[in-house]
Parts: sequence; C-alpha cells; structure tokens
Amino acid sequence: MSEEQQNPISLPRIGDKAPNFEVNTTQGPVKLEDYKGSWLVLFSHPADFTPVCTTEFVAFQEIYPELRELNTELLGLSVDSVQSHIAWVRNIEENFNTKIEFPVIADLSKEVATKYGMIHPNDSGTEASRAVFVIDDQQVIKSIIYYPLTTGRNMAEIVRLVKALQTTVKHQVSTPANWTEGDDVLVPPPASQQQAEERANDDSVEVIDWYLAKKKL
Amino acid sequence: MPCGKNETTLAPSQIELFLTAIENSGNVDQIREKVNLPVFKVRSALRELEGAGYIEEVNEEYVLTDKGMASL
Repeated sequence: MSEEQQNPISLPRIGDKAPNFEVNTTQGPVKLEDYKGSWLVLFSHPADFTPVCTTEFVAFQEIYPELRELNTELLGLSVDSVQSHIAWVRNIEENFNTKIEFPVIADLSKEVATKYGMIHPNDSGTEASRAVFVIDDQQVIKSIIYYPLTTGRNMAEIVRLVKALQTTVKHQVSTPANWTEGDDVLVPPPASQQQAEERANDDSVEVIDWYLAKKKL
Repeated sequence: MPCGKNETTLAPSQIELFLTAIENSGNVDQIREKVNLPVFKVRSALRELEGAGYIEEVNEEYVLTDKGMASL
C-alpha cells in the first residue's frame, strides 16, 4: 500500500476555512491571520529559476497593483529556501526589470503545500504544482485553480475571478460565463413556485426565463 | 538555517520606519497609516519588533521599549 493510500491527503475545499500557517517568506515571517481583513491570492509554483515560473512571476507582479486596489494581497509559495527565492527575485529584477513586491513562502518542510494539497506527485513529483487559492477577508477559501507544470496561468483570469467573487459577496448575485466587470450579473433563481411566478413579471430585472434573469449593478 | 541568524528579518531602514511611526504609541491601524504598508506586513513587522524587544504591546497599543527608544 502506498504512503498516500495509508495516509490520504485531505485537500481544503471551496467554503472551508483556509488552513492556518506560520511561515518564513522573502519579506519575513508571516501568519495567515496577518491577512485578516484583506483578500489573499495564495499561489504555488514548482521551483525557482525555472522558465514557466519565471514568466509567471513577472506576470503576477504585473497584476499585483490591480489586486491591491481590490484589497487583495498576493503570496507565492514553493518548496525552495528563502535564499533561493531571494536570488531568484533579484535575478528576475535584473533580467526583466521587474521588482517582485509580494512575499514568497519558503516551504522547505512542505507543510503548507501538503495542507493545501499543492503537491500532485504524478505531475510534479515532490514539487508544488501551479495551485491558486483565493481566500476572502474572513479567511474562507472562495476558489481553487490547479494548473500542471507545463502550463502558465492566465493572470487576467485571476483578476477576473477575484472581481467576480467580490461582486458576488457584495451584491449577492452570480456571474455568468465570461463575465467581466461592468457586465450584467445573474440574480439568484427562484426558490419556490410563488417566487418563480413573481420573477416572471418582475420589471426590475431582465427575465429571460423564470430561472434565468439578469440585472445591472 | 544558514550560518548565523539576524535579530529580525527587517532591514535597518524598515526598523527605523516602524520605530519612528510608533514613537508616541499607536495601534495597528494608526501605525499602518503612518508606514503606508500592507496590513500583513505591519502585523508581521510588529511581531518581529516585539520579539526583538524594540516595542511592547500595552492595552492594544504599541509603545517603544528602552531598547526601541535607544535605537531612534
């Protein structure tokens, strides 16, 4: 029996309280609770000084100011050391003229990567895969994305996702496929026959059918 | 751990920034406003400065210790 079969890894899921951590980063020791009150995009990458990860770090830095305007912090993670991270972010600054302003966790013990289910042995061996956890200001996991080693993430989608999640929380609405900021949103479907009848005649929303109605914010 | 350990991970300029911001005491929000840094960074830095004996927390406000005052 494999180790994983003997000790199945419990992955956090959407809606769960984000697992706590206390870690060393490129910007000093950090606890998850330090982020209370702001949203957090916690992402892992396989290794420092690797090609896809380097392009991702430049791209993450590019969206960091926009995320900060959304009260959202960025926090990277890999199973490399702080010294490796420092050397890598300095190398990125030299090669790409991009200063990495967000902290990067040195998860040498793999404690956080394991807690968050970031290691997918059949794809990434002992390294972390490309995971993204969006955690809200109450430290609840709102969304999870996984990419394999070979595929760099889409930063526009991460920003779009944060905006969509925050819109849902703020206005109690859903967002349709390909929604972007400013588009119409979806109102919750009726939960009873009576609600459905009234929804069908509700002039305050654009009713496509009783179960599908849009509105502007 | 490499060969040796610093008192904190804060750069000297960061220590000075925080100690100056705290000079007349303040809570996390007041300090954050003065140093203009993300809240996670402020909480982390205050924890480090407290651990290194530069500041102490009294009634949810941070004040400089003798070591903190001597460092300014």
